[in-house]
Amino acid sequence: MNGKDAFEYWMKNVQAVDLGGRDVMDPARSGKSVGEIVRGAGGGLEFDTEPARYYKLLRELAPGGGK
Amino acid sequence: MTDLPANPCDATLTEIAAALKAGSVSSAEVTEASIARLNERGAALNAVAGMDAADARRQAQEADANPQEMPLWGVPLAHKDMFYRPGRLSECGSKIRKGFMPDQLSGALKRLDGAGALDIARLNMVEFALGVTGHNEITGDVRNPWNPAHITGGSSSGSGAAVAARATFAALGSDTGGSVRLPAACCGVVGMKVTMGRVSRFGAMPLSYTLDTIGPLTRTVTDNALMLSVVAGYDADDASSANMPVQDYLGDLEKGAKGLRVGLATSHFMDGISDELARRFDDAVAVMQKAGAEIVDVDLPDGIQYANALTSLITATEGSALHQHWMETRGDEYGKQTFARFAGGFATPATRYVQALNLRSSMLAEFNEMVFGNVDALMTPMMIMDVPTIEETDVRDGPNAAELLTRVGHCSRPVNYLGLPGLSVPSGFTAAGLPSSIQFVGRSFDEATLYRLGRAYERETEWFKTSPDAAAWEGDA
Repeated sequence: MNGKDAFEYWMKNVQAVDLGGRDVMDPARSGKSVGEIVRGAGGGLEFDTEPARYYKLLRELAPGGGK
Repeated sequence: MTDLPANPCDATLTEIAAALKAGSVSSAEVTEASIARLNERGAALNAVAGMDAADARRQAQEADANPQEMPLWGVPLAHKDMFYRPGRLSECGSKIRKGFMPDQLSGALKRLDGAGALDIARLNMVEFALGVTGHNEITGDVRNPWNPAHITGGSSSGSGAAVAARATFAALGSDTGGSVRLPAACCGVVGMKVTMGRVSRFGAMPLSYTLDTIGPLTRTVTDNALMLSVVAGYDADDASSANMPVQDYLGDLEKGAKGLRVGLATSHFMDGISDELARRFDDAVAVMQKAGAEIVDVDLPDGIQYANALTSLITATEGSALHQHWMETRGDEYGKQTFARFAGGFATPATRYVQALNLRSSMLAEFNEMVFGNVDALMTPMMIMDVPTIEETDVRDGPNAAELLTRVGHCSRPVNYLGLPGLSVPSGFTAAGLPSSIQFVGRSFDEATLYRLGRAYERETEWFKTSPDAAAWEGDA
């Protein structure tokens, strides 16, 4: 399957899954959560790089600062 | 040294490792008993994906012929069917990976090999580790040793069932949204979800690049600390591995809870909990108080209520990227729930995915300040619902699936989102005879404090001494 075929397959078969009806994955609800937190953050997200900052923070917050 | 039980499989990992070291039992004897237990109990519970008994006996003979000063020398173990070993199948609970023979050696297995452990069987799991109940439409559902009509929790379903059934002394699992801690909780054993980066993920089946962790399931806290002492550490083969010192997990284990401050969350973790589990949790808190812990209330960031959904979104999105090719070409070989959840990932807007990841930093910083600025660890229930039956939770891709998965993962997924360590410890049994569990959540890379607290609780209660009634289901295979 080439890239064009794969895209067409996805459009026809995968995207055709009734996401709302099946309700298992619920992207709308999950996406809404992200949106609500972003809005709740006021100034928005920090203008920084991920995942570098997250992993760095995880290490820095270890007992003794990870040393 | 204490005498071993009549069947060596009834000993704990710590006891059997000591007995092997002392020469009071041979690896061949222990391995033979393990093979029998995996064949009888493992099969009855559908916990075993595959076992090569001849190879297991060969490993044991080699160990007996060449005694070594190693922490797990000669101990036969079995693990979730997703840790790669060259020349051995790793089928990931799926039809898609049926017959897959990896050429990599998993970083975690490499460390266990280096500690002298034997690897004798592959344990069943949820298809591609995507599921918290333990159902598997492809390989069949694993059954709970405390009552086979009930779920094991997932996705390390076979690991939970086999450890609880005394068919293996310990097992590795993976935890992306609760997949070590939930089967541990449902099966009444101990499960550690480690800090992101603490255990190598090299050569382990991927589900989510940013959430997957590897951790042990064992019968006791001490056994778990022993297992993590072996598998934790930096691995240059895993780009996400943390080059951080490994704590001495066994050193402070018996120091007790005195001098430690334990926080009870004022939001989220008790929301929607059953009355019986709430009472059991209160009892566990009282035990910790008696053990000397100072108990205080702690507030959590408001965003914690969304962490469950964010974990689900990230997992589905990253998983769908990994599975797109197979979904396009072999979609009908997936179980319905697995396919539907991965398909949901295709619908995630890229901006939402990136924002969901970016929010981790700010929520972690806020959580750390609010919680660990006040206490050494957070104590929560592990589940808010009683362990349900397999039948009542067989929702597949139906309309009740999202709500059920959200409820089962209510206490586990936020910990994955933050990337922090979480230890699930058995806290007794409900009136229905099924396990209940508590969770300790700690600072990043502070698994040692969780073990100390878990051991303090375990020492007061000794729930691990109660065994499931295997006679009730042993012949069911």
